[in-house]
Amino acid sequence: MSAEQNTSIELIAPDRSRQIVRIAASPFLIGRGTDGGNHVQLNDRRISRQCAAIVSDGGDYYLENRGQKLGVFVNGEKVEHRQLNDGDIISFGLADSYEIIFRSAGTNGAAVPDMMTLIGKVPDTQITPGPAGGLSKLNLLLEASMLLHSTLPLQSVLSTVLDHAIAVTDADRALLLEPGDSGTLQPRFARGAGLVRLPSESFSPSQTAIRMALEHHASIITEDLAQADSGLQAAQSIVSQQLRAVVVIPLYAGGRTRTSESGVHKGGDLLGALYLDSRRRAAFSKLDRQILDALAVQAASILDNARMVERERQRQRLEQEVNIARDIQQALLPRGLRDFPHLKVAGINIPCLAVGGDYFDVFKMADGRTAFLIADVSGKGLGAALLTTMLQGALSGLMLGADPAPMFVHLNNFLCEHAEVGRYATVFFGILHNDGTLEYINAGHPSPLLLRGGNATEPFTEGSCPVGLLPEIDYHVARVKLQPNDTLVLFSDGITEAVDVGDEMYGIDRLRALFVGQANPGLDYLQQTALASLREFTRGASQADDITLLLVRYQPANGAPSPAGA
Amino acid sequence: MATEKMNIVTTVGTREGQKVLALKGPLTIHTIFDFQSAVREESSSAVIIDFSNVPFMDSAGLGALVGARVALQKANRPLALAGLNTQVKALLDMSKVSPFFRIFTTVEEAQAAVA
Repeated sequence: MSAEQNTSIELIAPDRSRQIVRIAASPFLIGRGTDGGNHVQLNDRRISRQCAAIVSDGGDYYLENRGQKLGVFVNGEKVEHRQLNDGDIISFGLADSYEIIFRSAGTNGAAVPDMMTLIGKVPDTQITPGPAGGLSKLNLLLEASMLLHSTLPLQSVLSTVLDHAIAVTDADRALLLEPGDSGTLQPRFARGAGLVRLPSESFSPSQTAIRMALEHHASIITEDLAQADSGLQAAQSIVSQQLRAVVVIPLYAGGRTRTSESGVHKGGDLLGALYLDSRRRAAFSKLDRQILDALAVQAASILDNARMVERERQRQRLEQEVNIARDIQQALLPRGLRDFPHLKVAGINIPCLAVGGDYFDVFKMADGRTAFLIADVSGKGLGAALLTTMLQGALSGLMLGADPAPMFVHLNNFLCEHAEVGRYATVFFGILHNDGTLEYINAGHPSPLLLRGGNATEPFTEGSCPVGLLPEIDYHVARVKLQPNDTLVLFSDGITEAVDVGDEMYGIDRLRALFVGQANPGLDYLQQTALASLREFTRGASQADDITLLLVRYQPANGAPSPAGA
Repeated sequence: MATEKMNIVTTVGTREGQKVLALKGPLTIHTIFDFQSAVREESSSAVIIDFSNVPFMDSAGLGALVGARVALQKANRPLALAGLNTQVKALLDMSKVSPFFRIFTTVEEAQAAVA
């Protein structure tokens, strides 16, 4: 297969010479000498004879440690077995030793020319030993710009930027720092002159120089520390590592960090810092400084883009979670609303966010009665939704025929004992018998409207506090008798407290007025009328709370005792 | 609604150990944190909350108010409410929590009654 034929490694020797080797076998063995049948021989006594292998499996390639004592690393991370992606850098825990870049065909990476190879082809470019000439430096800059638009892994792109910075400054080593969890800059990865990866942990940059750069929001470029200000000269790491030249460029989002002494950065989050040092004194021309400046801008853009991609990924992940929560919540609403004995039902729940703090439920009880309820948890969104689901689970247990009052006492105490939850719920819970007897508990919920003979009243005011608000509250069941075709309109305060553009509330009077004079209309019609009225009222204003409406109508089953008071 | 702000002015009451917290603005999910911290910072023995300039309270506001009542009760410190408008009073009534508060028409009445 052509893809396999094009899968190769780029072997970088300690003398920085490069060689492309096709991966023609699996396992593809890497080690010192030929004893172990190695396909690639690494001539370094610190590398084990049986060192590592690249194994192909179903079109994917994996790196395995086959006995390298110091460990095998992919992009600086120690691994035992790990899938390889195009551009991954394999190393062996050694300074000044071999590095291997994995190259797979058929990936985007293959379409982008390898910048390092490209630089190698430019005759003027002398990455080592001396600083690059003016023209080739401009070339480096052009390439850095191209990298920005490449699809190479972030690690390779940033490595290349560091290599370029080393080439421009003739530094010994370069380090990219990024803010850690505590906000202080931590080494992310390091490169040495000659395109070698250095372990970033062992790199101790001059903290004094970094601090100075961050304090001044400007680059520190010191050509010769022997002539630098005494604070920097005496800095511990500078003395102990015999540094002569140090460059620190802070990287900021969306802004240019200027390397000229006068330029001070304004605004933008700190993304990290580019750090270079050398044991030799340096001499930077104006052009060098401009190129460094431009490289820093490239590095900042790359980091900024990567950060934005990560944020977007997190946002999508969160959105996905919320969507799952929404699906579950909607799926928990009762299905087949018309199928209850002696009860006709219509209901709707419109959360103002993806998930809501309202819900309604209707269920048949074991003894033939039918229970219905509406609940409104304080607040909205995910927090309220969690409590809603817990309430629904608990209250649906009443299906088995338990007494509702002790259940409310229990729920109230449970929530009050877990006061950190910080939420409470208003609930109207009703149980309807076939003879029209309605037993109900009103836990701080607005009285449902009773529609009877063209009138709308609010008779269900008897009750107790919301659950979870005050401890040690008693709940009692109240009883009323319904007549056939009596209709209850249960609603959440998202309806009565909905506001228009002038901040006026919809209110209970408007809702009640809708139903006055209506002679026994269908429940769906009533529901549509209420929603249309609400929409008309709030037109232009955004929905600030969850909206829930549940309509239930008593219709005795055949053979039921004739309702009293008819 | 998102721009809702609450301004809280604390003054000394007419009797010793009394403090009056005069709220200005709606007591809602957007403003309860200001309210809660104002109550928490208040160390006087008796607290009177003046609702005269509170046009509206939502369910989160109710939760915060009851929370203040529970916290002060635990410390044996009296709490009184004054100047509730119809909407705020109706919410307390509907939620059946009115009996748990001492409610007065004016701040002056509250100051005379609470110590």
